[in-house]
Parts: sequence; structure tokens; C-alpha cells
Amino acid sequence: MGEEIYEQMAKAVIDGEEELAAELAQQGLDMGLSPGDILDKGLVKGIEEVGEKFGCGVFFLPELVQGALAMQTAVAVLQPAFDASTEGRQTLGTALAGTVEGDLHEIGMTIVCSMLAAAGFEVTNLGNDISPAKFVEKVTEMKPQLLLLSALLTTTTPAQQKTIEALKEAGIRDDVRIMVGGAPVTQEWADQIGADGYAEDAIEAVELAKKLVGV
Amino acid sequence: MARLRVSLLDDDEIEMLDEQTLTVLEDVGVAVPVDEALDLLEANGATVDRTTGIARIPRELVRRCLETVPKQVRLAARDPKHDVVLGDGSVTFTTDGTATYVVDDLTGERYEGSADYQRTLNRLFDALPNVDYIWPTISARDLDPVACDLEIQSIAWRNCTKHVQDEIRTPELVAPMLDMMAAVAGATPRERPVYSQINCTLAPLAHDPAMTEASMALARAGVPIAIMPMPLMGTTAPMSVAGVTVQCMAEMLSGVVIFQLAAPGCPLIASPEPGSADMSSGLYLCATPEAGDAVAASIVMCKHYGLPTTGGGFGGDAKAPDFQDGIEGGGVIDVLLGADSLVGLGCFDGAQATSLATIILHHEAAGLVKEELQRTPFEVADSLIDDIRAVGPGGHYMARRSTRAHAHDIWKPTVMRRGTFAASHGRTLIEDAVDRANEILATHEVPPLPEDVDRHIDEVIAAQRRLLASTV
Repeated sequence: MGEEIYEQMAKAVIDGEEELAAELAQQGLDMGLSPGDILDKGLVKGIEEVGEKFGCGVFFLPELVQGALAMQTAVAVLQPAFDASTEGRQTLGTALAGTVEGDLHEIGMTIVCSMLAAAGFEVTNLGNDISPAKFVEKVTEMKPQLLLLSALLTTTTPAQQKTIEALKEAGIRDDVRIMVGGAPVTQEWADQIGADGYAEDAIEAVELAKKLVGV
Repeated sequence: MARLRVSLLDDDEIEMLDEQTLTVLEDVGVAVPVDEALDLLEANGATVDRTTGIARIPRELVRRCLETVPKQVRLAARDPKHDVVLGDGSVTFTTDGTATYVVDDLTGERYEGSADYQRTLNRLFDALPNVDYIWPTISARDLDPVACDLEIQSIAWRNCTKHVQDEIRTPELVAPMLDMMAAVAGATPRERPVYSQINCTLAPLAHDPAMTEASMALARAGVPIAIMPMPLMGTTAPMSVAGVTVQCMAEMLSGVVIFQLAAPGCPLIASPEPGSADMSSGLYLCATPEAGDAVAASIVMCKHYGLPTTGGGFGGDAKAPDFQDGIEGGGVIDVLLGADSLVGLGCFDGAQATSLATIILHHEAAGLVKEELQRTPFEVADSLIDDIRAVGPGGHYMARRSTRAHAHDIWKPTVMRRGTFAASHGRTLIEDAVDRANEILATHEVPPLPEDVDRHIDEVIAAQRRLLASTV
């Protein structure tokens, strides 16, 4: 029965069935399965297949985003069980993301976050128009390994720099690896503002993220 | 002026798209997080949710606002001989933007844009006759981003005598912008708007608060506003041509309502730019057949509503001015559907890059399109039956006065190849285009702005920089 439900969980993620993935996660807990097993033997298998299929061009963005959402919803069901146990959740790394202050464009960041999640990262997307102070607060609170700062407008790229400066002032700049991206962002700009990396698209962003966390 | 025309949508399809667009505005609404705009919308019958900033706009209000939009828009130029009127039947072209990179056509090397390169491009645009008005095209990384919206326009006016269309993104830049416009034009912005603002909506179904506030103030001063929705199929809009068109038009018409309520009768330009996303990477694509269909359908709808309208042309997703760029640059259909003007000249890679050869080759194509679509295609009076009678069977027409009179009317390219194979052998079209650009740049001079105007612009920008520095 255990193996069967793990396969169903994986399939729910592959099919992007958010509600079903959450129901199966709850069903697994009710059956006495550990949250770690549900994650590793069921959900992660599913998201790995989504990532592989996306990587070789069989799946497109909708499959990726819906798979990541199904995974995220099921993990939320498991979270109280993780909190109550000593069992830790295994991920490739943790990432905090957001579009910088003054910029309301978020689709690029949404795509990058989905791809990171599908690759095995634990990702928190703060959304758009995030102030440097908010980034500092969240980095302090969540202690992510990666911080991703997005900007679509030439006029908002300085907010990437301001955010990095704010992290320096708060004394936490070196606690996190910073990636920057967005249409007007270049490698030269990333170097100039002291970011740790720049990626031109979401696929490069995942490779860069893996490199920065050493996997 | 005669124009070739084709039709895309029949009356039933237009009616369906109109009905669905109005239904979206009434039932779903648009987010307009600007109190002043929400006040106006509410006072005129919209249902407003102050918590979310969403306004649901009744169709009667949309219809009423459409009636007050002028059918023609004058885009005044620093030099009045370059004034452009959208909606008078002519076909005009503007450049593309805003590219992050410049590519060296001969080495393939890509580097960041700069203010100096923007000066160079603007001088080139000034010299090219088929560039009727300009977008600044390149993002200048070396400008202080805080005041760069103003600096970019000042560089444009100092290096080009044509109308400038671009964004300014915040309301505090409106007053200095109007000040600079008046100085350059020697007239009020309402009398001679030497600048028009692009207002990009935020797909799906939202308006950028700061930019919208700026647009409302500019509209009140008589500055034309180009409303530019850019929903992307599958990411920020539904995954169908009809779906993205409906959403694009809902964003467009909500902009029309907001700006007509702010300034009844203000000049507006409909610039629908729906696109698609590469569904395997999320990257923006502007030249897919699906995006082309959505732009085309949106143009038909904009003209249906009587709006001066622009379409897309030339700039595509190719990575160089190559064969792909040539086949993607199909703006012809947009003009055939009634677009008054085409944007997109001079960029490639989804408007992320520009190059000298691209500008020259797109400009050449613009000339071809103008010649093909703007002239009267067929006049019975031009049949020259008397010449046919005089020459009769056999013989030739080279000795006829009519042949001599009209021979020079035939469109001639400046860089595209004609002549023999040998004449072009050993050189690429790209090399010729780069040479042409450099020849122009070596000789073309743009008359400087009058000293007092030049000084005034510097003072306005300096004052704005001080103001912004004091508020940071």
C-alpha cells in the first residue's frame, strides 16, 4: 500500500494536480507514513520527473509551474508534521526571491522560482515591489542560502544595489549568495553592484543557483 | 491618401471580441491603484473596490470615453517639417526599444548601451528619411538611473530633430518634462507636443500607479499618450489568440477610460503589443505567428473603435540582422489592416539588442513598405493607352516621354542588392549596411539647440537631480 501511494503522489505532482497531491499527503500522514518518506519517496520523485521532462523539452512551463504548485501545496500539508518531528526536510538549498522596490513586474521571478522548486530548492517568493528593509528582515528571519533580486526596468535596477547595500549595513551580506536578473540587468551590472551571480534566463538561473550552493 | 487594405475579422468576430472585452471590464475589472483615477471612475459609474484598487467599468462609460478620443494625433517635432499626424492615412515608422545591448555587426561582440551610443543612434535616426519619429532605442547604462528619463529625452532632442516617444515613469518627472518640452518647441506642450508618453499597462489587467499618475498629468497638459498593453500568451494572458486579444483590448480600453476621464478629448494612441512567451524557457517572444495574429486582431479592434493605432514591424526574435530577422519583420500585414504607424525599427533579440546594420536594413524595408502601401496602387488614368497605341505590336517604350517622366518614380534601394552577381561578390549585405551607417554618421550634422534652450534643459535636469537627491 505504501509503494502505491508514493507512486500516486508522484503522479499527482507530474500531472499538476494540486488538490490531489495535498489529499494524498494527508492520507499518507493518516496512514502513519513519515513526512520525510512522503516527501522523498513520493513528491520529490514526481518533481524530479517534471524537472527531467522539462529539461529535455517534453514538458513546458505550465507543466513545470503546476508541478511545483502541487509539490508546494502538499509540502504545506506535511509542514506541521515536520515541525513536530526531529526529521529534517532535504532540499538542494533554500532560496528567497523577490522583485525589487518600485518594480511591479513579477512573471520572470515566478518562472525562476518554479524552476528552482522543480530542481529541488525550497523557494520563497516575496512577490513584487519589495523594499530593501523587507529583504533584510526576511533574510534575517529565514536565513536562505540564496537571495534572488529581479528588476525589469532600467530605473529600478538601482534598487538591486540598494538592497545589497542594506544587507551590508545590516551585517548579513556575507550570509547569503545573491543572484540578480531581469531584462536590463547585465553581467557588468552584477559585478558593479557586488552580486554573486547573474543569469540571462531561468534555465541559466537554476544552473547558477546549483553552482552557488555547491551542488 | 490611398492605402491598400485587407480584412482579418468579419463583423461577427469583431462583435464577439467587443462583447467579451466589455464583459471583462464589467465583470472582472482592472486594478488601478491610484486614488485620483478611482475617484473619477467611481464618479462616472464604475464600481470601485478601494481595498483592492479594482474598478469594474460599465460598457456605457467605455463607449462614452471612446467618443471623445481625437481621430488624429499630431506628433510635433523639434523641426516642424518632421511633424507626423497619425490617423491621416499616411504610413509612418518609428524605431524600437529599449535595448540593453549594442552588437557590433562585424565581430558579433555584444556590449552595454551608453549615452554616447544613444547620441550616435539619434543622429543616425535624424538622417534616415523613413524614421518618422523616434524611440530612444538604447538603454544608457552610464546615465544616473534616477534622472535618466529626463536625460534620455534631452539627448534625443539634442541629436535628432524628430518627435520623441518614450516613457517617463513617475509623476514627479512630469513638471520638468513639460518645462523641457516647452523650451524645445518654443510653444506649450498642448500646442506643439514634441514628446509623447508610452504608458505600458501591467498584464494581467492592471495599471502601474506611478506611471498612470504621470500619464494623467501629461494628458491634462495635452501630451499624447500611447497606451501599450503587452500581455504574453500563456504567462500573463490566456493561451489563445482570441484570449490574449480580449485581455489586450480590456487593458487598452481601461486606459482610454482613465485618460479621457482625466482629460476629456486628450490625444491617445492605441499601441497594442501582445506577445508570447517561449513556453520552454519563459523568455519574451515578439515575432511568433501567434503573437502576430494577436497584434493583427488588436489592430482591427483599435481601428474599429476609431483610435489612432500603431502596429509592430521589423524587430523580431532573431539574434542578428539575418535571414530569420528578415522573415520575422513582417509589419506589412499590420499596415494592411489599418495601422497608422509601425514601431520596431532597429532592434532584434526581442528588443534586447540593436546594431547599425539592423537599423539600416529595417529602414530600407520601411521604405519598401511605404512605397508599396502608401502609393495609389492602380489608376485607370495611368494606363497610358496612347503610348500602347503609338508603339503598337513590337517596338519599345524607352523613347516615350511618359517612360522618361516616370522612370525615376521606381523605388530604389540604398543597400539591398540589385545589379549583377559580380558587383556584390565578396561583400556581405551586413558589411554594406554598416558602411552606409558610418557614411551617414561621418557627414550628417544635426543643428544644435539654441544656446538658451540647451542651457535651460541642463538647468531643469540639474534641479531635478538636486530635488531627487534631497528626497532620497
